[in-house]
Parts: sequence; C-alpha cells; structure tokens
Amino acid sequence: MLPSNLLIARSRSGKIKPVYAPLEERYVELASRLIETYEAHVGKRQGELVKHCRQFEGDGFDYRLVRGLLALLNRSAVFEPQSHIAPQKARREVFTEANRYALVATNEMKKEVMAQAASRLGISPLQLEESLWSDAEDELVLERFVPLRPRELIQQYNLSLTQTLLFKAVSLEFTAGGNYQRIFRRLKYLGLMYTVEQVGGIYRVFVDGPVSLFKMTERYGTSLAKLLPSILEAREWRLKAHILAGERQAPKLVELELDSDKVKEFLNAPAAEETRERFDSSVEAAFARSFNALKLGWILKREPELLTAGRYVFIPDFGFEKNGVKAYLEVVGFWTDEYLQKKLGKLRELDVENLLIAVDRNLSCAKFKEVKGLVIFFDKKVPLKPVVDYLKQLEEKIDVQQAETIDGTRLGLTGDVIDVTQLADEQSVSVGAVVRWLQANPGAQYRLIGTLLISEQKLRVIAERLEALEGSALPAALGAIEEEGFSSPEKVLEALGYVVKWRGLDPDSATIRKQPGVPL
Amino acid sequence: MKVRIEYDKGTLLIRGDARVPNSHWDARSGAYRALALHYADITDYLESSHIEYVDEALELLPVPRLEFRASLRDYQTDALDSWIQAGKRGTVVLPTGAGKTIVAVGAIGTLQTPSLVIVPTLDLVEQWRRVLAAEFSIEIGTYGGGENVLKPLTVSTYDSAYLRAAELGNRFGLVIFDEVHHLPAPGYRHIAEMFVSKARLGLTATYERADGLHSELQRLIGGKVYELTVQDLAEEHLSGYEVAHLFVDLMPDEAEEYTRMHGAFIDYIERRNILMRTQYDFSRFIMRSGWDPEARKALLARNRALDIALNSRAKMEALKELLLDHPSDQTIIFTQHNKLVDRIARTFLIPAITHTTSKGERREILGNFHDGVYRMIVTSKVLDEGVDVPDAAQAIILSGTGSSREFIQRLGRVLRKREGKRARLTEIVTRDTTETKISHRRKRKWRDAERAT
Repeated sequence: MLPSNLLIARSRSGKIKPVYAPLEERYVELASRLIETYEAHVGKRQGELVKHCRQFEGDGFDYRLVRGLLALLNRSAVFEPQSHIAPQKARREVFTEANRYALVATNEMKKEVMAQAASRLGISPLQLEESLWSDAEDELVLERFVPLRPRELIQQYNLSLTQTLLFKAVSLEFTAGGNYQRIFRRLKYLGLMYTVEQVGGIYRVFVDGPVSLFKMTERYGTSLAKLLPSILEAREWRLKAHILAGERQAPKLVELELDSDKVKEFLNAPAAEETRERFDSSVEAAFARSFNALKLGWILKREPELLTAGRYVFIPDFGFEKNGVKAYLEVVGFWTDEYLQKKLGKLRELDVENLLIAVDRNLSCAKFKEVKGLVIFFDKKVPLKPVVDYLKQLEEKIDVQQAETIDGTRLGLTGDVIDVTQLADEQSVSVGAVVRWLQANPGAQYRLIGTLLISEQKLRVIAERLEALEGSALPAALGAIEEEGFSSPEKVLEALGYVVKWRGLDPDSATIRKQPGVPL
Repeated sequence: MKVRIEYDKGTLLIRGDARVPNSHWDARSGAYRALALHYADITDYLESSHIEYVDEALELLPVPRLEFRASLRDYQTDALDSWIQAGKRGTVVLPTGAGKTIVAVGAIGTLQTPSLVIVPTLDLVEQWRRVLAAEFSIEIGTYGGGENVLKPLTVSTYDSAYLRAAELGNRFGLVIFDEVHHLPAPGYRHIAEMFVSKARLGLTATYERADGLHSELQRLIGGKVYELTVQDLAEEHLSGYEVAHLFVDLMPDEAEEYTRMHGAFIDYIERRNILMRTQYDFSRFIMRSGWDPEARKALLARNRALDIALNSRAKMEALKELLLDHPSDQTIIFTQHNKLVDRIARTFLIPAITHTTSKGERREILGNFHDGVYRMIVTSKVLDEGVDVPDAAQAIILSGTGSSREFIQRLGRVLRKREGKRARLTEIVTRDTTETKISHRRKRKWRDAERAT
C-alpha cells in the first residue's frame, strides 16, 4: 500500500482505473535499475540513495510511479544509524554544554562546546561530530537490502496501487472461483460484513461494514484493501468497488471494476501462496491424501463451493462429486466452545443434502445429533471407512432412485455389444442405475457382463469357439474372445462359466475348463 | 419478544419487535441497526414509550471512587456547570494555558464513570496520563504509540480511537475530546458516531474551523456551551504579553531566485487563467499537477519560492540577534519546515523536536526545558498543540502557515501566568514576499478578539 499522494488513477464517466505499470521492457528496465541502485548503495547514506533515485523521476516516468516503486523497495531495505555512541546521549551532552552560553553564536564557541562534550563522553570531537545527528533520516546507512526481481517489483507495485485506490472504497462486491474459506476468514478478521447472492450458480458477495448501513463511509476502505490479496489468490475473480473521489466540496462516487482475465498479468497474488493447495490442519491434509489413494472415482475437492446457510455463508472443507452427485465433508477439529456454538448455529440453518461432519471425539459432541447429516467421530485422524461406506450407500441410493426413472422402451438395445456407460449417458443416469434396471428387467436377448450388454447370439459364437479350445492354454482362449471384439476377455470367459487352472505363474501353462452346471 | 439492545462494532443492534428512531432494518443481521451515537435517543424513546427492553449495549469497567486533588478556578467551575446544564454534552472553549484539563478532571469527578480522553498527539497522551494519574491516584490506560492498555480512565490518540472505535465504543460513560476541532474531520467523526457514551465533552481554544465543519460538532457531541478568549483572561489568569514583528530582506541571491520562481508560477496561472482565491482553488491546482506536467512545474516553482521566503538565511541572522537580546528568557522557536529546524539545531546547538524525535527523547528535552537545563527548543509543528511547556517567556515564529489556529496555539505556549512574567511573541517575516500576506492572515482572528476587548 502506498501513500495516497502517490496514487495514479484515471477516472472517466463514473469509472476509475488504476494506471498500472505494464510489464514492458521500458518499465522492467526502470525497476531493475532502481533495484541495482539499492544494491549499489548498501553501506551508504540514505540521503545519497534518495538523491540518486530522484534522477529517475525526470526520465519520462511519472514521479509518482518512481516514488511508489521506491516505497516498495524500502520495505526490503534496512536502514540503521552508524554511530560511535548513542546519538541521543551525544546530543544531551552537547545541548547541556551549549546551555552554558546565552547562545552558541560563533564557530569558535561551537568548537569549544564540542570539545568539552567530547572529552566528557570520552571520544574525539570528530567522533562526536559524526555521531551527533547520525540518526537523522538522511544520515541513516543502508545496512541490508534483499533484492527482488524487477517483474515482481512491478507486480507488487500494481497490487499496492489497487489497494491504495481501495482505501477510499465504500463497498466492494466480488465473485471468486474458490479460495472462499480464506477470503471469508480474512473478511471476518477484518471486521467486515457481507451478504451473498446466488445467481445461476455464481455467488456474488457484497462486502462493507456495520456503519455502512447509515452512510457512505471510507472507514472500511483499509480493510477492503487488506481483503484484496485473498480474493486475488482465487483462480478466477471479478470485483467491483465503489470509490469516493473528487474534492471534499464535490465528492463523487466512481466505480472500479477488475477482472482476473484482464489484469492477471499485472496483478499477481504473491507467488509463494498461489501454487500448492492449503489445508487448515494436518488432519485435513492426511484425509485428502488417503482418500485420493483409494481411487474410488469420486472427485475430491478442497473448499468446493459456497453454501448459503440462512444469513451466513458456509464453505465445507471437502466436496465429493461423482456422476453429478455431490456430497460434503466438514471437519471440526479442536476448537473453542464459542466457535463450536456458532458452527452449530450455522449448520442447523443449513439446508444441504449429503453433509458429513467429522468431529474430534475430544469435544463434547452431543449437540451434533441435531444436525442433518451423518456425524463421524474421530481421534487424531478422520477415518476413511465411514466416509467411503457413506459414499457407497449414497451411490446405491441414487442408483435405486434413478433406476426407477428409466423407461425401458427408450433404451435402444441394438447390436451385439452395448456399452452400459453409453446407455447411462443417454439416459442421464448413473451406470449403477442402468445396471440395476437391467438386473431387474432381464431381457431374453442380452446378458450383462461387467458394464457390457452382450447379445445371446454373440455369446453363442464365443461359446462355440471356446468349446473347441476346451482344455487348451489360456492365451489362446483370451485371444479368441478378443478377436470377437472385447477388450477385457477375462470377464467374458468367467461369465460363460469357465475357470482357469493355473500351474505356477506362467499364463502359457494355464488352461481353461468349463464349470459344470452353467448354461451355454 | 422483549426488545434487546446490543453493541456491535460501533453500532447498536436492536432485536425484538420495536422500530426505534434513527435505526434501519439490516437484512444482514435480521435486526434493526443504529449508529452508537444514537444510544441516548433510543433509550430515551424506549423509556418514554414505556417499552420494556434489555440493555446490553454498555460494558463498563468498574470504577473506584474517583477523588481529585485540584480545586477549580471560578471560570473553570462556570464552564463545568454550563456543560452539566447542557445535558453533559457540548464544548468548552478556553485559551491555551487556562486549564482545560482541570475542567475535564472536574467532569470525570462529577460523573464517576469510566472515561476516555481522546487527544491528537502522543505527547498529549503522555501529558494527560501524567495529570490524570496525579489527580486521581490510579493507574491510567493508554492507546496509541504501540501501547494499548484499557483502564477505567484511559487516554487515546484520535488515530487509535478511530481504528479501535468498534471495540472501545461501549466501554465508557464519558468521552472527552481534547482539541475537539479535529473531531469533524471526515474520518475522526466516526469516533463520536461509534461510541455509545451519553456524556461527551469537547475542549478547544479554537472552536471554528476554516472549512466550516465545526457545525458538525452540534450533532456529534453538542455545540459550544462556554467560551473565553485569551484577552478575557490575560493579566488576571494568563500572563500579560506583547506581539512583535521583525522584518528581514532576502539575501541578494535569494531575492533573484525568488523573483524567478514566483514569476514562473504567476506566469503559468495567468496564462491558464486560473483563479487562485480560496483553498479550494489551490487544491484543484494541486490535483491538476497530478496529470499536467506544466502545472507540476509551476507548483514546484511556487513551492521553491515559498521555501526561499520561509527559510531565508537573513532569518538566521535576525534570530541570532533576537536570542542574544533576551539571553535569559526560556524560548521556543517555531518553524514551518523540519529543514529549518535541523539547520537551527545544528548551527546553534539548540535541542530540536520534530515528528521524527523519539518519544523518549521528546520527553527528556521537554523535561530539561522545564528544569532550565535547556533554555531553548526549536520545533516545527509538533508543539503547536496542547503540550504544556511551562514558563516559556518567549516564542519566536520563524515561519508558519496562514492558520489562525496555529497562531493562537503558538501564542498560547507562552501564556502560563507567573509572577513578574511578561510574555513576548515575535514573528520574523521576509519583506516583499508572499510571507507578509501569510503573516497577516494568521493573525486575523486574534486581531478580532483584540478589538473586542
């Protein structure tokens, strides 16, 4: 964030735009020259550094841009006084000595005072001279400077510029593709308030503060500026802010609109925080790891979406999604009573299906019984089994429901081999639902093998070929089935009532044999 | 459902089936919400309408019995009475050195309630802390300067009170705004709006603001309830004084550059037909310099010209003479810019106080000045306001703005009464520059008061 006199923004017909420094060669060059100047001035006085940097202001660059960049560079710089004794002590001695005169009016008197004071301090007059004002801003010495990359400096500058503009914001609204948990945690921490509106699956969040209800106020501008980085961390975002502009005698309200698509290049959220997925606790991280290892076909998402709970917004820790079915998991780790109470209040208002709640057993959990959804208790680690069981049950339940909606006459059953997955897609139901329906309505012409529906006729052809191969080696049998156009021949073999007799591990020496009592 | 009033971050939430004055329905919370400022109105309304309510707004710290040592002078008692008569709201206007602090002490002692004193600077935080601790013999809380301690009697800067209004707003029964002319600034007025405190006392030596915003005070804490000027109290309660001028001429090289720079500025505004009559005109010109490089050049030339006039080397000579003419007077030298403070401090080895001076060193310098270890202090604007510097007999204004308030405050630094004291304020002004106008302008209000007595 920059001092407001360094803000560069253009406003036209009710809109305002910060004037970003583009990542063009000329600007990158300026940034890198300033960084070099700082590096070259390590060990030198701040006054010298400032003087040197001022030269860039005339170079066709807006002086506010140059000073803004310097303000950011100062954050990576440490200035310290260099002194033989504490400057304040030196001054005390000198002023006290000087007070013996009505006024130290001449150079001779001044020398006398300095000599007296120096001898009392046990240093030379020159050392005293050097120490006396060594803590004045110009005299401070650049001790350390941590250089940053020129492009990074420019992006930091653009972020600061946007935040500086937001200082004067009276309200902010945004949409974001994720990162909700962090955004809302930050929002609450900053003492802001929000309302959420859902339009076509998109959540639009309006942010201002308690006093905003009564008057347009910039009071929350600083907080809104501090909220900005958490919004920028989202994959995609869009925001609109109302900014107070113009003089005090003629205040105006202008609109700032930003869109990640258009400004992503200039305005990067701090890189370190952007890349990896973040977890609130190791408990959640461990759960995500072991769940993904199971490869159940459920897609696990971290902080998947906003759920509105009465007046509140609720963002579950995890979302599961498979074939359009969604479920959520909220992990309640170790928290205070007050937090738990609030959470309960929220969950009670929540009208969401398929919510799983994992609660640390060390908390008193009786109250959770009132909440819709399944409560899992845990010590240290969220157990996988109940979650997986729940998801399986959920799948089954959904299959049963969907199977009932299937209209058999509309299932186009033609050809020798029909892929059930495709049928499911055509009917917009789960594969499980189609399988269920087929099991309940066994047709005369087809048999279900795995997720394939194979015509009896085709099966007879295969059966005849296999009969001829009875007792022969496994690879020959599998080859014959593959020739009929099946990619997983083992299943067909099994469905036709054959067993494989293994001799050792070598498939070449394994043979197939028909089980008695299986038709065909 | 019974009506329930809660405090929420600078506002009041009113739950239950009652629409109260000054409140709005807040869908975000499902309750009526009002600015904390209206607490008194709202409870009055509920009382007079015989509506039962539960009041959970205030969260006051328990206070011990508050006894104070000072005895009030007659005009201080009058001021306090007027304030109580006005419903424990409003502003008392007294000149610097007339003991506004004691009026505040009297108010706290009368109300026996947790009280917050809000002041503009860290120096004043320290000063009020010392006075309140000595008067009431209890530990005083402070906010500002990195230390935040909440006590039944607490002193805070305006900045800290603004930042923390949401959490401090329901902890005090009485809020005292020192140098209350700061309060109407658009940011600071939130403080008054976000506090529930029914009793509010403003203190200042200069009620009116150049921008007219003092009219806001009526709504925020109540209007002027008592006023005395420097002239009302001079001789009897404040020191007698004289105001003098010393005119100097620019050095030849300075005069040459001044003419050139001032000319460049005048040339620009004439070419562009820019009127420069009010502060508003000037701020528009500054905004223009943000995008118009020519305007920026003109602005820089104007600043340079003013810089030459305010910081002329001739002033250093005049200052030397003046300081030697009165070799035993405790003296404060005021300047407009820190650059000149530095130059004086380094040339004459005089202790300096600027905004960069650490709190510790500031305290040390003021202490030594008080004890006579140092005879002189040079400062920019830091000591303009409030800080008590007892027994300064001479003030020298080397440079300043055209603000009446600044002038009256600087004069106030030397008005503390002492037996046999005759205070003196001298302005050193560069002849034939815009500074003569500035000097004339800053004495406007003071001259009016002179004529009135």
